[in-house]
Amino acid sequence: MAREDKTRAADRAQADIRLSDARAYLQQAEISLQFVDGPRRYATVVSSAVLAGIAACDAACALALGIVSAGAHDQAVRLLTRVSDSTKAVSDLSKLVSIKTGAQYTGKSMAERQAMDAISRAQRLVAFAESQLRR
Amino acid sequence: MDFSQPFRALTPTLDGPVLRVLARTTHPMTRQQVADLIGEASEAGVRKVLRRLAAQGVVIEQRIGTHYTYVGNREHIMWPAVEVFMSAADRLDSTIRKHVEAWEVPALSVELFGSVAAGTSTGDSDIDLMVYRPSLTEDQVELWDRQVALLRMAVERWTGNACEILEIDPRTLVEMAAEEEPVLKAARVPISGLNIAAAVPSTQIAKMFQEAMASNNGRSLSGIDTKSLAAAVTSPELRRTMEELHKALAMSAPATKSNQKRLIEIARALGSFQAEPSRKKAAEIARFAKLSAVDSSRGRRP
Repeated sequence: MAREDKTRAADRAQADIRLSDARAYLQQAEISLQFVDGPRRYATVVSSAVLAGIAACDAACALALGIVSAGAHDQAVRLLTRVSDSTKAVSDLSKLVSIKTGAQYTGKSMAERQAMDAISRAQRLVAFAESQLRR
Repeated sequence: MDFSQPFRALTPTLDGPVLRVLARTTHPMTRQQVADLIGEASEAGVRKVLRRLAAQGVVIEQRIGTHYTYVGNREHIMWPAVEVFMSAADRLDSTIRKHVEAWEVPALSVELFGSVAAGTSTGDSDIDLMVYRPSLTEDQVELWDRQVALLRMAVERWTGNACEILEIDPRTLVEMAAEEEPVLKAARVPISGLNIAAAVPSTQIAKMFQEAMASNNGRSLSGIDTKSLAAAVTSPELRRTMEELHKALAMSAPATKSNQKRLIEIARALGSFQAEPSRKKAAEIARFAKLSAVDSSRGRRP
């Protein structure tokens, strides 16, 4: 992790809040997949899945490390590498972060396959964060 | 045992919490960081433990300038013992899973809830299990009850904790959904079977069924709006709940002609008869039709 990466202290209560956020965003992604119509449907799904993944990353880092990233999303990915057995979670978060801009700001359309993939990655990240509660 | 501090099952000393912190990260930590994550330990106490563990080689101590950092030594031959403690919760899940998946009358689902699921348990906490029971025939009831009692005793032997089992069935699940019971929204850990969260109907659908079941003890199923039902069943888990409820209603509701007709309509709304037109289900439809005919000719329940 680069020296300039910003972090801030986070306790168990903050971890719980971020985990609740992650679950809510994931639910939002799943609901959007079912009920949102129109050309931005899959981008909406991806956006919510990305938010779920980032919140899950914060929860996992708060629980295992007592800190969360206070910088850009790539810094959050680097911080997550410090958590034990996070290889898969890091790969999922990297992928979500890499499609965030396309989904949220560029108006670029997303394919159904990308939306489904983003939901699967967000689900794994939420499960990873939940598993930290019991370690 | 205390699932939040699994090392305490064998040792009450500070070594357990220190090892737990170091096992959760692969990154070197300072003494202060370790003490902060433990929450209830002094830096001096943590320093003593870290020095001792470093002397044993279980922890690697590194000096950076004026600070010392510590990281768990994953290559140490005793590190797997640390991992065994760290995976206590997973071992509990898999032990329960293996036990319930051998049941003669299978559960629709078994999930862990309460403080152990939320990671806030203490040594005195109960192990809370939610067991989702299918609709049982009369000869299955005794066997089911014995299975559940044996599970409760087994969990107590495995952990030293009391085990509380919340049994639900499709009917109680619908009632709980109608009443918006908080336990349905609480954190749960899936152990075996379907995902209960996905099997819970919406409040609207649950209320519709609850009213139909409550009105004259299920005498009339006419209050069930099959159109809204068809639209509301959005997951295979929810469909399973509704199919089980349908089965329970078929067993308990008076076999009037209108009820038989409505049961077939409900089943069609669930898509079960159309999606899986098995011989067994076709026979079930035929049986309902026959019952209706007998009912109308004799004017009583067959």
